[in-house]
Parts: sequence; structure tokens; C-alpha cells
Amino acid sequence: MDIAVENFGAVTIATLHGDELDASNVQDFKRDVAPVLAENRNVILDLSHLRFIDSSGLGAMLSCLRQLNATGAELKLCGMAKAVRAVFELVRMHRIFDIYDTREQAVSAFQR
Amino acid sequence: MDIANALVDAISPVSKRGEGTGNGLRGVASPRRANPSQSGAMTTRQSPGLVRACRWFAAGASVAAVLLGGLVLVGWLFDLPALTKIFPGLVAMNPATALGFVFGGAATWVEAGEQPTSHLRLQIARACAGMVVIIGAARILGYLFGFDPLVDSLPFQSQLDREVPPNRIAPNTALDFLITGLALLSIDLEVRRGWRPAQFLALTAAIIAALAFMGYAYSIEPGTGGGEVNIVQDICCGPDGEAYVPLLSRVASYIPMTLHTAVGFMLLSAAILCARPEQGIMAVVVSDAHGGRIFRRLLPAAVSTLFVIGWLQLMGQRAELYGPQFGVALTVAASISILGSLIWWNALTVNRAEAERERIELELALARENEVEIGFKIQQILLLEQPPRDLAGIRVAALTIPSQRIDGDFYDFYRHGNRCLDVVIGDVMGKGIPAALLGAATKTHILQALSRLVALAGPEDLPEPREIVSLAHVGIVKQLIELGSFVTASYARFDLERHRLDLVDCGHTEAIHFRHAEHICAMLRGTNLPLGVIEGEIYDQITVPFEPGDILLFYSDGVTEARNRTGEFFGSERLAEFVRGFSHLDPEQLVERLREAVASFSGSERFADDLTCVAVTLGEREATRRRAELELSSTLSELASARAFVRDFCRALSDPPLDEETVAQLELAVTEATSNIIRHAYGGRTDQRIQLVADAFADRVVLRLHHLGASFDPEAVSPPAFDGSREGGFGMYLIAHSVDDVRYYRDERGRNCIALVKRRLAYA
Repeated sequence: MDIAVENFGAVTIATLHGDELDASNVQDFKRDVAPVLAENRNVILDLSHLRFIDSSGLGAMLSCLRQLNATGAELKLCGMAKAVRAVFELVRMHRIFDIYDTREQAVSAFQR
Repeated sequence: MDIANALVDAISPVSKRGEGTGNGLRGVASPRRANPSQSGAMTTRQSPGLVRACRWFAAGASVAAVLLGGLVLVGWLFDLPALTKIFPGLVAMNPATALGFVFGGAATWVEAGEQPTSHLRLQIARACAGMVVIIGAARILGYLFGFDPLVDSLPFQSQLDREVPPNRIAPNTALDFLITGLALLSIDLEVRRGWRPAQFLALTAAIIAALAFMGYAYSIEPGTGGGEVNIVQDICCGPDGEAYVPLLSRVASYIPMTLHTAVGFMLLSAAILCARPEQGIMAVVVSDAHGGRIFRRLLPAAVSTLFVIGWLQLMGQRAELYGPQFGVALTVAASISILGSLIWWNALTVNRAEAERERIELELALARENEVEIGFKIQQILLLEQPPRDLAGIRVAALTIPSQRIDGDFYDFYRHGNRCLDVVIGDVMGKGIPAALLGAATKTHILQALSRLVALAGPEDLPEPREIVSLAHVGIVKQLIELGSFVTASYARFDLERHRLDLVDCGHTEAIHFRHAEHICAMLRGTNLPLGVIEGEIYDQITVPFEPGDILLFYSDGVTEARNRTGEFFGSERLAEFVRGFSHLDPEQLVERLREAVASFSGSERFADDLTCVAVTLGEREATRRRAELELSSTLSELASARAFVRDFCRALSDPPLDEETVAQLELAVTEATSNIIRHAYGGRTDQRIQLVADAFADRVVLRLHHLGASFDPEAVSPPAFDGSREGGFGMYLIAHSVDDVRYYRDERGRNCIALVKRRLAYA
């Protein structure tokens, strides 16, 4: 899965270029996102291209969050489509993650 | 199953074999059972060996009594004191006494023999017993009214009068003859609760004789060796003169019962008691139970102990080791300690037996529990089928709650394409594993009959329910009659095209037909006998039309015969009223509510009988608006195709179209379900197939995933962790919250199926 990484000062934005994250590609995602998580402390995952996520995708997101939190680093999510956000809300994960509508909001949340 | 039991009683006298075998546990039965007089309070299992020994003893002792009397008479005849006195120095036995023993012995011998005996022998025995009574009564009357009854003075008069005082029958001897004679005459008389007066008479006679016997025994001075002692003097006056003569011995001061007379009476009394060893108080003596064993152990020990202690007391007193007061104190102390030990010994035996019994009871309880479990498994595996879930126009739900002991309740469903559904429900007479196995056999026979007839019929024809039932009946009737069992059953065919129900009722409970249009319940009952009652029963079927909204409820009598605390039945009227009240419910909800209703009625979650019911709700045979199928292979890369298929299917729907949110939810649910099948049901195998079928109806969309992988238990899944502490475990939750209904079942081809149902918005 393509992940584009951009740096804005101390903030790293990783943009997912796939439009679906499910059990079939979740291992690829985990593999590709791992170096981003290992090298950066303030990470934003931009999910604006994502049209679909299933429970494995949710699990992968949780895995990212826990990996960063373990070293005191932080994760914020942004740009979720309505359907994706609905899945997060169904299992109440919107209370666990910091979710922003746009990447600008997410960046400024880090800079605050 | 009250009617059922009554029926089986009527048709088969051996049907209740095996019931009430509780006392057969140790397998000891009296050889002379079924004696109605044995029903007294003292009846227990008796030891056949002891009973036989008693009879032999009775016969032997009666012969001994005859011999004793005979010898004494011979002695009188030839004037041989050795025979009349036995012990030199003792008083001779009066010839009338000797004659009494001959008669008494003879009567006892007849009574101790094989019963019932011939009329003649019985008459002779009665006459002999009568003679004994006459001898005793005449002598007693003589003493009372001061005349000479001549019985004991006339024969051998000169010899008798030679003795000083003249030899006559002693009063206690006369009394003993009277009692013994009465005992012999009334030997078979039984009063309330099995008591026999003859036995108490014989005991009284024995005690009187024992008194005399002990008098002799205790009067023998040490050192004299029982030789030339004037026993008469000793007993009459005592060694210390008049002052010591006790009141009772005064009787003896006249003329005492002689020693051999005393022995003779003891023999005769024992023989009378032993002649009827199975009746009255003797039943306890010969019983094989602990009571009998304790009695046989304790009585001889107690009698001999007390006898010896008494004798020792006398000896010590005569040797002037202690005075009478201290002697009595010693006797009492010794008796207490020895009898106390004996009683303790027996208590120990009883306790051990009790412990053993408790152990056996525990083992039995475990065995019973085990049986319940096996029966329950048989029932689950062999007797109960899952109702079909995906037949348009009909919904079926079944419920069974096993009781403590498994009944042979069963049900089965046969689907004939999309046109007909057959529902079979049955109940085997009896309980436990045998009933469960019979239920399984019956079910198999019905299925076999169906498949044979289907094979014989044309491709478009279905065999009629009555033909199926008749063929199944022919297959099992002989075995069921032989086993003394039978099976009540209902065979119902729902013809969904013609909207009619064909029902063969084989003595089962009335099916309840709730008619939606009139909002009433009709009871459907046929006239046929249960399966396995008689050969040649012709099974009829009744035909009832049904409409959408109608409900059919089939049930076992465990439902209607559930009782409340006051003993009132749940009853079919209450059941019909219940169906009417809850007719709006799904069949699954209906049977669940019924379980709750019966439980709250009977005030218990545990029922005496199995609670089995099948609810069928009939609906419109609605047209499928749109249908599409997709064959997937079991790899995760197919998930995207599954979603695309669902998306395309849903977007093609119109009137009304599905909104995007609903489509997204269906995509999510189908993804989760498919990946569950691939990862769990198929365990990661990638060479398997999944059939995805989408159906759109006016009010809902149904997605079905058929697969051959392992079945899935949604109950076993733990709820997700909403705090983010676990990364997995969201799948089931997401499915459940994305669609309106999820069903897991086996389809008509035996594949596992997950059905996802999503309601469509109502028409605007």
C-alpha cells in the first residue's frame, strides 16, 4: 500500500493512497507504516483517500496508536470519509483516537 | 402421559416390566412369595435357608416330643423309673403329661409339614390339639374346683400313688398344655397387621417351661454333680426354709413341673413357632435384613449371658461370698456391661451397613445422572433437527427443554423444494434412554418411509402424509408392541402453493391452528391411534386450508401437563389463549415466550416432562424483486469483489432505491462475514468456495453466504473491548450493528449459512 510521507517541522503526515483497508491488505499496510512510526514522534495519518475500512483495518489503526504511545509519541487521524468515520463510531474508537476533519487542523493541534 | 399409560395397561399386560424392581437389587426373594398373609408390618425379605431350617427344626422337635412322651408311657407300662424319671431322684412324668406330648407332638408334626396338607391329616392334627387342650383344661378345672379330673390319676394309679406326694400333673404343666393346645388350634389365625396369637401363646408356654427349667438348673449345688438331690424339697422350701420361698415357687411347692416336662414344652413351643417361620413375629427372626441378623445374633447371646450371670450370682451367694443385695447389684452391673457391649456391637454392624447403603445410593445417583446426560446427548444428536430457515412463505421455530429424565420427544423437518415442508413431531411412551432410542428408531422409520415412497413416485408427485405414516407404522408396529411401548406423533405437510395443511394425527396432542383472519384458535385432532398400538391401523389425514398470518403450534404433552403449585394443568385452552395473545410474534419469539409462560406457571425452570414444541408461522409467498449470485474462492483478495457485488446489486435496486449509508453497512457486514468464513470456518484454506446470494424483497435485502466450513457459534464470541485494549474482536459486533438480523443455520444442502437481513425503508 502506498504511503506518502511529508514532514512539517516536527510533524509527520502519512497519507494512505489505497481506497480500501480490509483483511486482504492490512498486513501490507502494517508493514509499510512501521518505518514511519519508528522514525517519527508526531504522526498524522491522512485517511482522506480511504473509502472503506473493516474491523482488521480498525485493529491496524489501534496497533499504530499503541506503538506510538508506547514511546510517548502521538498519533492523530484526519480526513475520514463518512463511511469510515461511521465504522470508528460504531465501535466507539472516536473516543480513543484524536480525529480531525482536515490535515491543517491536525497539524495545528500538534503545534499548539 | 396419563392416557398413554392407561392405553398401554389395556393393551399389554407386560408393559410395565422393569418397574418397581428396586427391591431386586440384591436379588434375594422368598421362595414362597405372593402369600397374601405376608403383607403384615413385619414382612421383609426372608432368608430361604433359615425358613427351611426352621421347618426342619419344627418337624424334628415335634418328633422328639412324641418320642419323649412315648418313652415315658413305655416306662409306665413296664414300670421302668429310668424312662419315667429320666434322671434318678427327679419326679416322674405323669402318664397323662406323656400322652399330652404325644398328641401335641403329632399335631405339631402335621402343622410343620408341607402346607396345605390333606383334610384328613388336618382333622387328625386338630383332634390331637383338642386332646392336649382337654388334658390341660380338665386338670386346671380340677385344681380350681377341688375335684379329681381322673386324667392324671386313673391310668397306672397304683404306681402313681406310690410316690409322695402322689404324682399328678402340676398346675403349671396343666396351664402349659392348655396354652400349647390353643396355640396349635389357632396356628393359622391371623389378626390385624399380621400378628398371630398362636405365636404369643407358644412364647408364653415356653416362658412358663423355662421358669421351671431354670429352677432346676439353679438348684444344683456345686459338688453334688446334679446327683441325689431332693429337687422337690429344694424348690419347694429353699435351702433356708419357708422364709425364703418366693411367691411363684409356691405353685411349684405343690408338685413341680418335672425337668423333662419343661424340656418337652420348650421343644414343643419352639416347634410351633418354627412351623410358621414366614408369618407374624417369626418373619423378623428369619428375615434376611439387618433386623433379622441382629435378632439372631443378639437373642441367643442375651439369653445365655443372663442365664449364666444368674447362675453365677446364686453360686456366689451360696458360697457366702456376698449377700443377696450385693448379689443383685453384681448381676445388674454384669448384665448392663455385657448387654451394653452386645448392643454396641450390633450398632456398629448397623452403622457399617448404613454406610455401605449410602455408598451404593451415591453410586446409583451418579449412574442416574450419567444416564440423564447420555439421554440428553442422544436427544440432541438423534431426535431433534434444526428447523429450515430460508423457505419463503413459512417460518419455523422449535424448542425443547429436557426434563430430569429424557423423554423420547423428537421432531424433524423434510423440505420438498420450495413447495412443501413436512413437520413431524413425536413423543415416545416412557422415559430414559430406551425412550430416546425408540424415538430415534421411529424418526428413522418415518424418514425411510418417506424416501422409499419418494423414490417410487413420479418426479412431480409427492407421497401423501398418510401413506408415509402408514408405511412407517408397518415398519415399527411389531417391535413397539413387543416392547410394550408406542409413539404418538403428528405428521403435518404445509403445501405453500395450495395453502393447505395435510395432517396425520397419531394420537398426539391437538395441534393449535391460529386463524389470523378470525383471530381464533382451532384445535386440530385426528382419530388415529398412536404408532405401534395395533397392527392394521389405517391412518387418515385431515386437510385444513391456511392463510398468511396463520400460526400452527405443535407440542408435546409436557407443555399442557405442566402443573402449577395447586396441581392445575397448563392445559390446551390456556395454550390456545397464549397463542392468540402472542400471535404477532416471530415463531422464535413465540416459543421462547411459551417457555417463559410455562416456567412462570409451574414456578420452576425444571419440568417433569420434556417440553417440546414447534411453531410455524405462515406468510405471503412474496416475490423476489431481484436476485443475484456470486461464487467466491476462499481468499481474502475476494473481499473487494464481494463488496463490489453487493454495491452493484444494491445500486441497481429502485422503488425505493437504497441510500448510500445502507449500502455501506451491507458492504461492511458482507466483508466481515466473508473474512470470518475464510479465516475461521475454512481455517485459512484458499481452495474452497463461498456462494454469495443476494435477494431483494419489497421490505428487505437478504445476503446469504453459504459455505462448507466449520459452523460458527455466535454465542461463543466475547464482546469487543471499546477501550482500545484489544486490536481484534470487532467483526461480529460490526456485523450485528450493520444489519437488522443475522441468522446462522444449515441450508437444505447441509452447508452452513450466514444470512444478513437489512430492512428497506418503507415506501414514502
